[in-house]
Amino acid sequence: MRPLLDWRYIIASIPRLIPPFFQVTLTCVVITLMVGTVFGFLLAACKLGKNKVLRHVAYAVTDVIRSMPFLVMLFLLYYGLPKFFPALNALNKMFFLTLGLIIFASCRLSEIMRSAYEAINRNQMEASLCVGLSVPQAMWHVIVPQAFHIALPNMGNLLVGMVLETALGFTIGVYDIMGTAKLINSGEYGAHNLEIYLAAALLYWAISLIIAGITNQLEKLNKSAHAGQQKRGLFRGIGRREGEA
Amino acid sequence: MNWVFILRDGLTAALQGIPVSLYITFVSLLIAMPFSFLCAMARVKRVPILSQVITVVVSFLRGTPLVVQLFIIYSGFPSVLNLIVKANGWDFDAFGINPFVYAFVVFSMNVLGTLTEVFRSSLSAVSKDQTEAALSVGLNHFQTNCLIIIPQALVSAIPNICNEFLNLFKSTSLVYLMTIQDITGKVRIVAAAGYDYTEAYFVIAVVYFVLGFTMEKLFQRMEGRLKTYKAAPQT
Repeated sequence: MRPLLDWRYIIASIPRLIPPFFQVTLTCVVITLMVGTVFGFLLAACKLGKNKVLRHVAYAVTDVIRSMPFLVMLFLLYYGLPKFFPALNALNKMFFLTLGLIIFASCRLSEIMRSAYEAINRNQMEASLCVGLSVPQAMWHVIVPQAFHIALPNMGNLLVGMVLETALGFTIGVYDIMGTAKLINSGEYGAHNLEIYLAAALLYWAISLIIAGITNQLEKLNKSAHAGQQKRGLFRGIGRREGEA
Repeated sequence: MNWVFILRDGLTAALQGIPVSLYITFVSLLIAMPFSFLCAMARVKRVPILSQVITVVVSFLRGTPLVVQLFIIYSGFPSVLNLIVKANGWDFDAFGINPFVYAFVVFSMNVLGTLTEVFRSSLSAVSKDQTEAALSVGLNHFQTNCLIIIPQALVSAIPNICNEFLNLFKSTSLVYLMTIQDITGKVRIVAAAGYDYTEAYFVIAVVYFVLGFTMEKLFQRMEGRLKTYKAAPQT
């Protein structure tokens, strides 16, 4: 009888799952982060701006997208878009995954940016205008650095969430870590059902821990001037909630 | 767009699926809540060993995708169970367990991770003065926790629990992978007949939006009322 849990198989299958991480997950997340920041900023600007119509539209868009499961969004894009634009059929499936992620990430980023901006006292802006800075200068030198500091933990959470959501890509046939694990598993007729998925889980866990660790370090650098620094262990990073400084 | 499909078949199927989705959400949340509260207590009280174990488990649950957890439980666990059953010669079909059982296990485990953090932060948000004051008026530790600390912590945890409920409701769309027919599963089956997948996902998206949005607004109202019971901000 084979052992219940084959540790050597798990360790041996992790290197097989790393290439799809670099090819798919990392690419998707990096592109999403770059494009999503731009759109997120635009949405946040609409929400904070003076134009009533734009503000309502931005809030409505966020509401609609937030209350939709990522899976449904992904399928809607994957099946729906090529129906109206047949040229998209030729595109790589990763395009749809990235597009879905961008839509989700820009909504969440806009919320993060908005709350970070609103958390900063109005006096800061007034004071910087008083000392003779222009509005863009005040934004760039005074508001944005502080807002970034507030937004950092939430950004880390979002980044972890994005990596985890790419796992859903296998449902539309993208071979990321999860997709490859499934492929290997079906190639072996499910002989190592538990082990291969555990290997995938370990890999995802490592990635989230790394992201959380980097965010913590950044926060520490950022926070060195602030008092009341909270100590965090290796595993505590992921477990933070939004709004908890 | 096939509007007949959207308005007739798709919508009927989606409406049939709503109870299933809600059922899984409610049961998983109800299972997870007491456990996560205990876990949070263990972490706040810094119970040796147990507290560290919970930290690692919570980190694993929050640091791995739900799909992967789902496949570990739904696909990996039965084959191991089968080995155990065979080795002991029991008369039990390891592959015949109701998928709903797996769904409850997967979703309650997943939400356990987040809820533990929710309860932990709300427990530690209750000021230490409260404990000291309660002890000084002669309550014992058990009374202090049950009468003073926990009620305040629960009130401040409710918005996050509601949020988690909505997240869980959205992620139950994954159960179609386990052959359970919730909103997504039901509509997908109807759509297969005429290959109306675009319309199907449109219907699903609309249904999720309507339900999610209504529940969010309801929760917001409830939270507004609960503010009455909230402790005054401590200075």
